[in-house]
Amino acid sequence: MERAAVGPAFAEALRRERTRYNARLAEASASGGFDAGLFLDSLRTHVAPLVEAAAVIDPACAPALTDSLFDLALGAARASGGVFAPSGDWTMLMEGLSARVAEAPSRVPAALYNGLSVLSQTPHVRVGEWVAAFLKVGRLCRDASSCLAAGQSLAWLCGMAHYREGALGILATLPPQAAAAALGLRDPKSVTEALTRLAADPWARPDGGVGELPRLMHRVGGFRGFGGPFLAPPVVRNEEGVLYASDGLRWWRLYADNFGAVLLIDEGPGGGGSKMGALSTAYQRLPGLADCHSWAIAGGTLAAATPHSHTLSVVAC
Amino acid sequence: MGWNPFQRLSESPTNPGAKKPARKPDVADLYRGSAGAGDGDAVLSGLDEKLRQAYFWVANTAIICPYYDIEFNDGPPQVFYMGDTKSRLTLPSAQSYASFVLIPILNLAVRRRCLLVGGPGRGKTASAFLMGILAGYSIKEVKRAVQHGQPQMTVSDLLGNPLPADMVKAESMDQIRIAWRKWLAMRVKVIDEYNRIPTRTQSALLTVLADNYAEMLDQVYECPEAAWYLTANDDAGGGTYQVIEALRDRIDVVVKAPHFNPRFLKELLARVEGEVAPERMVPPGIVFTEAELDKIHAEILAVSIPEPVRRRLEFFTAHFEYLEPAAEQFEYKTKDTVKLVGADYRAVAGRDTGRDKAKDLGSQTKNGLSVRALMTVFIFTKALAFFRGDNVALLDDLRQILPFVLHDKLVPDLESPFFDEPGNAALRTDRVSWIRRLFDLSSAEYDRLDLDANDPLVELDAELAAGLDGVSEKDVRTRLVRVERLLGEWSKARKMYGHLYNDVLKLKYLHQRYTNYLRWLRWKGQP
Repeated sequence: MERAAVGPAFAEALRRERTRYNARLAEASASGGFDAGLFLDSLRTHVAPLVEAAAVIDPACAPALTDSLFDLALGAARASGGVFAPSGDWTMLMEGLSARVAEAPSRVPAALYNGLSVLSQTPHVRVGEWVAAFLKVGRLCRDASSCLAAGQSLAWLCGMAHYREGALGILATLPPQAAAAALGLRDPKSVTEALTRLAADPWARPDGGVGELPRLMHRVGGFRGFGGPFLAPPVVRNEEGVLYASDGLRWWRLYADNFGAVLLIDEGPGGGGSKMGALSTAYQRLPGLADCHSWAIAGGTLAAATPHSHTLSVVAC
Repeated sequence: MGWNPFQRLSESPTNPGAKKPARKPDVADLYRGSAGAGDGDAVLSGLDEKLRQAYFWVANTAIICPYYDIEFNDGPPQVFYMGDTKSRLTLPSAQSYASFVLIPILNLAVRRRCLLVGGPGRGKTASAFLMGILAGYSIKEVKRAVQHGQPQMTVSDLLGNPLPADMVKAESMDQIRIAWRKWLAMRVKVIDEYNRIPTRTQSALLTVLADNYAEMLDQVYECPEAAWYLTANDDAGGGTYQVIEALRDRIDVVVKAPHFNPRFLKELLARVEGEVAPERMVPPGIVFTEAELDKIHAEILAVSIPEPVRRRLEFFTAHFEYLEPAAEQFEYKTKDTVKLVGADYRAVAGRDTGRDKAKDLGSQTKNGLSVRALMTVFIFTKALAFFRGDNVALLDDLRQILPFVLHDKLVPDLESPFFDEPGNAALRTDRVSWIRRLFDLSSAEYDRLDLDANDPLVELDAELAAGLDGVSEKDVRTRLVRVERLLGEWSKARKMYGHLYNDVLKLKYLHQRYTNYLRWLRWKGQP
């Protein structure tokens, strides 16, 4: 296979710290199960082009970026025999946000890498949507800090429902054009009103549109054996306005809004009731809720479970 | 930066199973992960883990300190008795720590003043140096932060000099500008061999250390909050110059540099052969930003100390100040009264009869504890709990940190019969174990008196704390009678020990508060 060429910026950065990088490679190789040759190939293929792209914007960033990417690649490659094979999404972000990468070479690459990892490990989160939105919105931010902050708010909008509070705060601080782009609004002047609406109602839409209520919004959970959290069909509880679900062994707290639903491990409620009686017919008409055995309502959200399924239905009501 | 083994940090949690406070989900979590620090500005919690990472790197890699003298147990530890004197060796059952590494790191977090003592070449200055690197300073900057005590050190050497041109031209003092030394602006300050600084310069140092400002020729330089590290070859306050008491008193915590265990010579040899200098290879992942240190400080202050733990500290502290023959006035019956007049403590204490001196904890010390010392105990107890990943301080946190905070604060009366009892002789020289034993004995006495359940002052205290608004004259009189009745009971039956002395004074305080209120009610004509 033809080796990718190494550009001048990356080559120079490697040359300057040759002794140190070689020492680190030697140590990694000595620990066993690490092929330095494969690692160098990975650097040529995946790291060198990124350094060259950033160096076009700011040649001075090449050494710091090389350092940062070398660390990141080595850390990842240790677990895979020396091969660093980042996801296409990460490479796409690094290329698309190269100006921000050049501005903060120690922060941005690692943040993007970790961000993608976190998102891809959270069920039902729309990672592809996040990447596309980030590329669009990130370019409208004036600096690396606001760009990364935009990424955090987009994570909420792509399904990380537990980030809601922080993300609303971040959106209020972004440049209006970036915030509008994140929220899918045409007019940046409508951002403030939209944020007020979103803060008041978890089922609100940025554009103010109203859907029919009640409305089945999400299904979350799933059988542990298939990657979900529950070992048994869950029951739900409401305590002090917070919705919890349990499979009899552990508790999870439900975070849900118009943009997604997430279950996070929790200590669980102290007391509180779940409704074990029949749901009203308005809800029973919704798909999958006819034989509901456990349900609870809090803050305009209904969480319902049936005895034959390991998933929860989340309904806007 | 260089040789990677020295820069490797533990990837697994440093304290698995540590009780974590329930955290609200934080959008900043998005960028936390295996790849570096991600968005550093957003990483402002989980800093206890970073502090632990720093500890383990220093203890396992930088300083080679394979000792675990701060012992925690989550079950009965194994105990062995070694040698003909049956020296007790404990194998702790929970994660335990080396004081020589832990205390300086905690000091960095709480920005207090740490004295490192020990023989030459044991890593005192190296440890302090590393704290500067962990705080984000470069090697060059840390070198600037280190002030080397020597007998010719002048105030100008320490603080700075007036600009010569201004000295010539100025018509008044405020026109003289001072070229302040740059170390004054640093957040980590190191005074190497502080007991070699001349007395006059010690006084200038005291102002900076105690009050955070430097003063020269009527010009004042305000210093930022800083973590201080002072080193000395002994902790007795001696040296080339006697350390002034006020300066010694400002030291918040004292830790000894341990001996080097020759079974770790191999590691030392590797270091010599690799020309390894730990300060040059501190992993970036454990370097703290100023914002992170500020956040850690805030989170430490938010750690709670539950009432049962606080009550035991109250009880412990109460033993030491009381000295019955010291005065006629009840409030003045303290060891401090004797010290202030320069009387011979032994002569006065010798008149103290009626108590079992071997059992009376107060008889083991020549002094009591100051407010400053107690506040430092609180801060470091919280810091230790935070370091372990908890937001509530346990009794064990208090017990472990007390000896290091009170090391120079609680002065033992080495002629106390306690030290002559079998097995206690070593406590004359082992200050840490002595203070720990004092606390254990105090806790045992607290349990024997069942004070968690049977402390009459708790209810009286709570009553007053609820406020006096709307309390009628009748109720006040009832409370006064209760106080008087309690004093009456105590006056008949009990020998006066330190904790009782303080309880009696508290009752007097309550009585006085109610008396004043009663007078006010009458003056107001209230029923």
